[in-house]
Amino acid sequence: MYETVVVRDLVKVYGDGGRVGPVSLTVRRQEVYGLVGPNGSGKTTTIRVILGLQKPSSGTVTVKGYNPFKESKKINLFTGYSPELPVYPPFYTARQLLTITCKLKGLSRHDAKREVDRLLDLVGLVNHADRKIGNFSKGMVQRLSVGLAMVGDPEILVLDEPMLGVDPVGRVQIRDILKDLKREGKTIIFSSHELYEVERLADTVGMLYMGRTVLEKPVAELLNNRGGGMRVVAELKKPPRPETLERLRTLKGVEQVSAEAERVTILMNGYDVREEVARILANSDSGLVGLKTQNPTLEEVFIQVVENALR
Amino acid sequence: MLSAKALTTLVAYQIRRSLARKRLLILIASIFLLEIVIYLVLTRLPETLIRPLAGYAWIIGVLAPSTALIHVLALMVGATTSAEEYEVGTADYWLTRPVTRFEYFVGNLAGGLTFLSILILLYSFFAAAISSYVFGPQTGLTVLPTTALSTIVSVLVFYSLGLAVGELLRRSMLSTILAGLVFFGSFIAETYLNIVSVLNNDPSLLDLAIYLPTWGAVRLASTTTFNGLDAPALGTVFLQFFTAIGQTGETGLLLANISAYTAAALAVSWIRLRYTDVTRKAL
Repeated sequence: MYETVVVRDLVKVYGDGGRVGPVSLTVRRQEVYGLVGPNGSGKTTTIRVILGLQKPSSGTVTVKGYNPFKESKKINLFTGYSPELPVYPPFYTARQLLTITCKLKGLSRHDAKREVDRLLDLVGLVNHADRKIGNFSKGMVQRLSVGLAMVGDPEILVLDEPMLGVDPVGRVQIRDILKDLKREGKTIIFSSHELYEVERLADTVGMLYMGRTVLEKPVAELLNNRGGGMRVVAELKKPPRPETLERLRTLKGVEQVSAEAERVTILMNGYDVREEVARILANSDSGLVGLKTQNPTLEEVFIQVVENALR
Repeated sequence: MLSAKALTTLVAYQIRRSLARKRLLILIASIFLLEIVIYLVLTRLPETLIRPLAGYAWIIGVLAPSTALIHVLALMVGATTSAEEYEVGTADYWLTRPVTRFEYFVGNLAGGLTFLSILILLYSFFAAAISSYVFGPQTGLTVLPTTALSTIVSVLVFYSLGLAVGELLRRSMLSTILAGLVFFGSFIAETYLNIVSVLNNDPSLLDLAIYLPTWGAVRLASTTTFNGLDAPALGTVFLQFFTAIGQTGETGLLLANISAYTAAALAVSWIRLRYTDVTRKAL
């Protein structure tokens, strides 16, 4: 697939000594890319460099072959952006700002009117179209921000924490919009703290931790990887003895063993040791009732990756 | 090439933004209040004193704000035009649309200047109208466009200085204070040089004053106005009095002073915007 956004060894050093990088990621055409990581991990910096708002200290960034810092206008013609905690001129109404954005994107007056009506409807702001943005709630501004990003039907959408501050109904609306855009074949980069959202929407996930990329993989591969990141839940007749748990922990490839009453959860990384687990438990005096395999959630994978990075 | 769409949008945006700021509105109101107070005071002067200058009363109203008030307003508009965009985060909006940094710079610059120009034209017209109403037909009104244009040119110094400080610091209040300090510092230094020069009978000290930023900004409008009016022929008490407060200089030198400060400040602003990150206080 065609590589749309390519970030290679991006390092950004701030005046106060703060540093992000090295970050490397590749976003392919028509792919939904989830950028995840805790606060301060470099998600917003990476996004701002991709958009040309910030200049990298070293490394290269290209968007469809263009240099964002030098050719931001070209990039902004086919890109839509919704920032984290968006702020817009408070004296404009939603309709006015959408119209201005249409004008900047080169839409004719007639097309702009149609586009504004379409977007107001899409983000659920029809009833607030002529209210000043200064009177909007945080969630409404966020929805307007998503609408603004979609003006002119851009090929690439960059959404920094699009669900932040949005109420549950708004979240569903934004999620549905993203799903539709995914179906339409848009390239979407979005960052989020909420791994559940990323798991549901993204094709590929890039994990940042302490300013650097710690993992970049297709979500499906990450969650269905039988040999790595797999979780096995064993049901026993009786709670297990500590020595049984200790034997499980010493197995090669077992990351974590936790017990809760008659249930033991074993996290594996890199090796499939289900047979050994079953043998140990069956031979123990706890008595094995059943063994089932569960895919780990993205959150568990993330924690595991972070723990590995810290070692 | 600059996009006309981007420029007109940014100019309209800056005018709208300036009108939404209470601090600026208070200063604008005080300019018009000053006009009213001036004419109120003039009507209270003795008839013998007012008669010879009645035909030129418009000059006082048109030039009075250019002594200080319009420059303070200009530096406030300049400082907030750039700094507030980063502080609030609206710079992000503009620079992630199909707008180059140069278009953003020129659009903002033109927007603030258009706002100031409209204001100058409005209060100049207001002064001419009110003086005609109070004192009857006015003489030399043909010079009014030159006076207004000179005032617009003269505000460039502190407008661009405010813009440069705002771009460097990216904090609107701090930028306004700092640009204000430059204005008042220069004003005080110029007054001090004038007084010392008179006391010591040393005109060479006045040569130093021409390097100060207020020198061109404060003098240009009055200089072009009196040159246009053929000042020596007037010979009124009024004009002597007004010439003393609205000091004049050589137009070429005044323009050189204004151009130098404006060019330097704009260059600093542009370099800062062109080569550095778009910052956002909230992040």
